[in-house]
Amino acid sequence: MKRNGASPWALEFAGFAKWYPIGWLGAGRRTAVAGLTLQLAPGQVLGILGPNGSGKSTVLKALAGLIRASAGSCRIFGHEAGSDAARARVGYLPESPRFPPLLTAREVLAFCAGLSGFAGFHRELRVQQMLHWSGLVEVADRPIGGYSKGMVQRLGVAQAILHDPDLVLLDEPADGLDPVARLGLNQLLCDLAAHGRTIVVASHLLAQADSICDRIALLGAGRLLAEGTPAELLGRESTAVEPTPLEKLFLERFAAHA
Amino acid sequence: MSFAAASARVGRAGVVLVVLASGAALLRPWERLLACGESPAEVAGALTGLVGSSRLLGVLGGFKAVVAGGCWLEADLAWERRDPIATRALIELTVAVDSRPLYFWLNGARILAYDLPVWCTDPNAPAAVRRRDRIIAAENALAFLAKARAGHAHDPEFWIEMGNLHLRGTGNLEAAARCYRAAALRPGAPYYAARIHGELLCLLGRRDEALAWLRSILPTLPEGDPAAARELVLARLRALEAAPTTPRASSPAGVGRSF
Amino acid sequence: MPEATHNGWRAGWRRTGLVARHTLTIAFRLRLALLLGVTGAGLIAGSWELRTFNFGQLEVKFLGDFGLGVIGLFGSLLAVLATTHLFFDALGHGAAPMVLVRPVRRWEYVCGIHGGVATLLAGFVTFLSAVLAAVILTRDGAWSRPHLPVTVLLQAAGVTWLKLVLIAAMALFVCSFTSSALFASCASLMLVLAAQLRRFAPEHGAARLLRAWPDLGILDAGELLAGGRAAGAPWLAGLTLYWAAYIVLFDELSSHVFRRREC
Repeated sequence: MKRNGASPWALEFAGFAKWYPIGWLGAGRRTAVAGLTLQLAPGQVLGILGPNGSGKSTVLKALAGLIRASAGSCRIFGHEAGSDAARARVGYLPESPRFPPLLTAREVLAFCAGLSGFAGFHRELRVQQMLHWSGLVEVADRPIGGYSKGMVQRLGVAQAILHDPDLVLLDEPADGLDPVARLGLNQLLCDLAAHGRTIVVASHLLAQADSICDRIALLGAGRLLAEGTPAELLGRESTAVEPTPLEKLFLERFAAHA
Repeated sequence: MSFAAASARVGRAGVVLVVLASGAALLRPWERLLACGESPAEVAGALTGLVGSSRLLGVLGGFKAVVAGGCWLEADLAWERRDPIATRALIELTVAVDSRPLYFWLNGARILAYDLPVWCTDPNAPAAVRRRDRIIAAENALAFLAKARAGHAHDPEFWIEMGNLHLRGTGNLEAAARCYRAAALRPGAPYYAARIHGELLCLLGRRDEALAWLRSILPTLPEGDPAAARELVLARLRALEAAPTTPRASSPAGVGRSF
Repeated sequence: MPEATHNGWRAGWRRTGLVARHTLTIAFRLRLALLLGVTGAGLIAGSWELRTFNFGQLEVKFLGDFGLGVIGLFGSLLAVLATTHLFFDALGHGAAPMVLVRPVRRWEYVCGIHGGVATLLAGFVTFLSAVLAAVILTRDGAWSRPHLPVTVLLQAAGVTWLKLVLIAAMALFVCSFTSSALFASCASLMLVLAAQLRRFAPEHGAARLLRAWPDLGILDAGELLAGGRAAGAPWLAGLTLYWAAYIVLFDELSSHVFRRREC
């Protein structure tokens, strides 16, 4: 698969703004993001941090091509976000993903794989791989309605990286995951980054961002408050992917119980 | 900006509406070619009568036959109560809901022509008044039945009923003769329609025409079929040939005659 | 690695087919079709009990008329409710963004949903038509010559399916610019009613806007059944072309409106 286009940036916001119409005729407006200018080099992990309503999800949706810029531009590997060329290189996990409760994980992954261009044996193989990765093999043929929140979240991440995208957009990926799954996710993100994938993670879990992100963008009320490496922002190097003491205890007990 | 955003939104909706309307306008002539079944006026009548009733949903849902059946049963109940207004309204509603069964038209017309004047006219009223009421009722029934012409003109039963109403109700023998002739010419018509037409021509004093008519139908009557009554037609032919003239009827003298 | 290219009509139709299949799978498991199908089949099977309401019609024609009424009414409900539910369920639960973030064009998504619902309706009409045919053949068996030929019944079922698919297209068009399933369902049902009454729209005044809507009365199979004779090929071809023109118009407009919609 082609890794990079002509642009030196994996993603590039230039004066990006997004506002939503308010009222029946859309005469009023509510600003979600204003004047965002930001670049990220390929293979880096960007953490977008901010409180609820700061515009994190809007930024990710713009990158995914699900919403259009009200002003400015948003480009992925040199392509307009939302274009066919851009979408072919993007994997996206929405915030709190929900799947049709009557379908099974296997069916959902097979559907997503089909839409991403997999067919026949390759599709089956890829689905099986993702089921293994997400730890859903045992429940692959059960309706999703019976899954726990963590299982649904893992399925969501699996469908986002299923087609091996160059840019992975994850909106609150650790939401609902237990410490084991969260560490697994952190590990996966590190692996993806090691393989040259560009990752954008929107999160309000600061510890996670600190441990895995190459760069961090702080958003507040739709504006970029600060942007840089963790070292630049914190004045120290980022910590390794290490569990906290409480997580260590949880993991030890969990392992003993298992 | 606000005004621009609002006007852009309205503009986009307008474009969609214009495209939809243009598409529909292009398809209109085609639509007229494809349209079949009841005329809009008939169905509109049915729907107007059903406004405010749960039966409207039934008609729109495609249950015309069942809804019409229910209306007819209600008309029967009104008939048992001898309520002329409700009976007439429900008969009209029945045929408006489902005009396809001839049964509703024929029986509705009979009720309008023969039962309503009996209910509405004082039995002690002078004979002229009662006779006038019967004629008015028959004319109403004929007007009612005429609405079935578009859908049932091919059916001899329709023309026979029209002929009966003219003959027994209004006493218009000319019109009755025309209707029986129309019935006799339809495929599947009963043999008696042609015989009655011939008989009415006699009553109208048109002997030559009656002779020609009876001669023309004679070869079509099978021997040995009591319904065809070939012998009766032959005897009538002989009687007409023997008698040079037939007196012209000036009144519905044929009423009660056996054909 | 993905094999197929993302561009080209072939890839587009392949994705449309995938969305249609996915939609059909969800629709089948919703059990709404099952509920309406079983209830409809029960009504059709028991329709001869309603013969008290039959006056002057051949019994088989009465049964056919009633059966087609059941298929039409329940099918319309299924077409509207399944379309609006599937559309908004995917949109509201975040499943649609996970599809639309892939190289799936909006028209492919809209046509896929419509295709899935159309297939569901085909199964629904086939099932209920089979029940109706069984009832009619059972009642008609006493006569040596069938009073209602199978070809007429097949044509009536086909025309009913065309009508239901057009209703689904209308519902999808409404969904493309509305923001709730409840509103879209109610609005679609009202518009179906308007389309059924469309031929009475006045030539003048604001109400003539109704004439922008298709005339569903043309697709009423009851008239076909009343005649008892199979319709001619030219009429059927004309009807299918009229239907196809409106399907293309509605799907195109739905795609156009949905293209501007943000998820």
